[in-house]
Parts: sequence; structure tokens; C-alpha cells
Amino acid sequence: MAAKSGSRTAIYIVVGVLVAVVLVVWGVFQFSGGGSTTPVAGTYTTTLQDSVVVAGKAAPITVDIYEDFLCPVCGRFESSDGGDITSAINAGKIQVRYHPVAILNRATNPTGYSLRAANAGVCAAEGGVFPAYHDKLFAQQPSENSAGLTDQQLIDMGTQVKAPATFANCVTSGKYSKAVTAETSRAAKDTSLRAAGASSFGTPSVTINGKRAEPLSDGNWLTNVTK
Amino acid sequence: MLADEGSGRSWLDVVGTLVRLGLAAVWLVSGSIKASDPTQTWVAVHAYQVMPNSAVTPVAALLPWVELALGLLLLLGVGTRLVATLSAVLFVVFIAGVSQAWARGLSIDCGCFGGGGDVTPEQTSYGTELLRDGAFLVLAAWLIIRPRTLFALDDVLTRGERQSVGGGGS
Repeated sequence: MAAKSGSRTAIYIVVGVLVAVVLVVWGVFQFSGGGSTTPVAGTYTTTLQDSVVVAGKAAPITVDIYEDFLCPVCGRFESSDGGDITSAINAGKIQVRYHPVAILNRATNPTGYSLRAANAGVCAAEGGVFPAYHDKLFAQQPSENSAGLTDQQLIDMGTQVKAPATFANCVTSGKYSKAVTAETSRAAKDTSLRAAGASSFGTPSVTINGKRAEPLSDGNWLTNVTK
Repeated sequence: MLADEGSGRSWLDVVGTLVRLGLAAVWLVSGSIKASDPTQTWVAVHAYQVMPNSAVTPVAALLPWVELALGLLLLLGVGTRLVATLSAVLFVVFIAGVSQAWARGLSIDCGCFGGGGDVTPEQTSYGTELLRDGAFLVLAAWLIIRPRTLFALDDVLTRGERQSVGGGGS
């Protein structure tokens, strides 16, 4: 009978092992999550080169970050590494060249949120509120196959971070849309930005002094260059 | 007659053992691949678009280790029937996930970087994936119906319980 229904001890072991797995993963999760999600306010200033947002002063290390504000992995990258990146810019250890790109235009209905969000990001740099607005874009990141955020919602987020009056017009007129589209196609053609073995450009893509880095699989990518 | 039954039983035990070890291998391999690349796992879970991001993160963090645990328990043969049942539940969840992605016409490729484009071919391999998961489900079903296998710790545990019960009686 015991053999048929399974040993009681075995059942305790199975349940015990699974509970232990859940607790350990949850514990690690709390620990690492608590450390990395501490928000860091960007105190750096930005300048614009077409649609490229140059964040912070010139530093020995230049990090180029290509991101699409709709891309879920970009959101995950921002939440895991964004604070550390901001701190490093604040401290003058690195200069980051943010390249807002629009590769997921087709992934919203109506299409084109990626481009409008990228344009708004550049507008925020023009208005001097890029660090806070960049955080907002990811904090309020819509999901794929949604409608995305409306222009009005993008403008309201700007108001919340004290963007100047010109910001609204910059968003609705798509002032930097052309530059973003041009930068997106340039990036798409640049084979040095692609992951090893990948046949196309994806986001997020990160380079350190022009050399592709793998921040998603290498948790120490930033400390390795800033220490 | 009795001898026939006996040999039939042992033959089935051998098959059951292979099924158990096969299923263990499935979990250990898939679990270790997932555990070694958390971001790719997150991307994969996210791509099903059945959970908000706040749920994707813990599920993606937990899944690889649950798979490894199931694989290890099967390898050792501890609580085979229970572990097979849990495996079957997971396979049904996976099958449901793939089916809904297929039915909704989701393009699993989100256009984002992740695992060297591993997600792109999935677009065209829904059928194969369902067949494979279905096959794994059959393996799990075997062990639920007939959990008796060779070289399983279950034997030792059961014997231990019997002995302690017998010892108490005498």
C-alpha cells in the first residue's frame, strides 16, 4: 500500500525541496532587487548631437547605449543597471551617449510609439530634464501590443519633471523624429553593434569605447570598467 | 503464470526507469540552460504576454530552479509519482502558453536583444514545440500511472517506513 501511494517521507522531501527552492530564490530576489532598484537621481547635464543625448562630462570611458523605450528588455536593463549607470555619470567616471532608437514602431496599435517616445526623450534633453524624463519613460513603460502612451501623456510626464514650455510642442511636432529615424537606420546597418552571431541589430545594445559589451549576461560590465 | 507476470513487471520497471531518467534529463538540461541565462529566460517568459512585468520577473527567476529541483528528485527517484504529477502540471502550463501564443498570432520576436536571436525561430516552430511538450507529458503520465522504477530512493524510503511500522508491532 505504501508503495502504491508513494512513501510519506518521499512526499515530505519533495515538498520540502520545492519550498526551499522558492524561499532561496525569493531571498536572493529580495536581496539583489533591493540593492539595484534604489533610484538614483541624475545630476548630470546633457548636450545633443542630432538625436544622440550626450550625458555627463567627457570621461576616459565612453559608453554608448542604444535603447527603444518600448523594448521590454530595455526596461529590465534600466531597472537592473540604470541606477549604477546614473551614479557613474554623476561621478564623472563615464560619459554615456544615449541613442534613443525606434525599432518597435510596429509593436503598438496605433503603430509608432517607439518613435514618439524616442522623440520625447530627445525633447527632454533639449529641455534640460533628460535624466528624470528618461526614468519616467521606463517607469511608465507601456507593454507591447498596447496603444502606447499618447502625446498628451508624454507631455504630462514632462510637466511632472518640470520640462520647459517648449517641450509640448517638441513632442507634438515630432521635432527629432527624423533624426531618430536616421540614427535608427544607421545603428541597424552598423554590424559592430550586433551581438555575436546575431544577424540584426537589437536593443538594448551597449558599447564601451566603441567595443560591444554584454551587460545583460555580464553583471559586472560596469564595475569592471569604472573600478 | 506467476513467472510471466513477474518478468512482465520487471520489463515495465526497466521502461519506467528509462522514462524517469529521461524526464530527469529533460528538466536538468532545460533548467540549467534557463538558470545560466536569466535574461534570456526573462525574455522567454515575457514573450508569452500572459503576465504583467511584475509577475514575469519572479516567475522567470523561479522557473529554472524549480525545473532543476524536479530533475534532481526524478534522478534520485524521490516521490516519483508526486514529482511526475507536478511535471505534468508544468507541461500542461507550457502547452497552454505556447498554444495561446500561437492562437493569438504573437510574434515571439520582440525585436529586442536577447540570446542571439534564439526567439526568432520559435515563430515557426509552435507545432514542434507542442509535439515535444506532449511527448514529455506522456512520459510524466507513465510515471503517474506506474511510478515503480528501479534504482529509486523511493524503495529505500518505503522499506524504511515498513520496517519502522513492523518494528513497532513486534
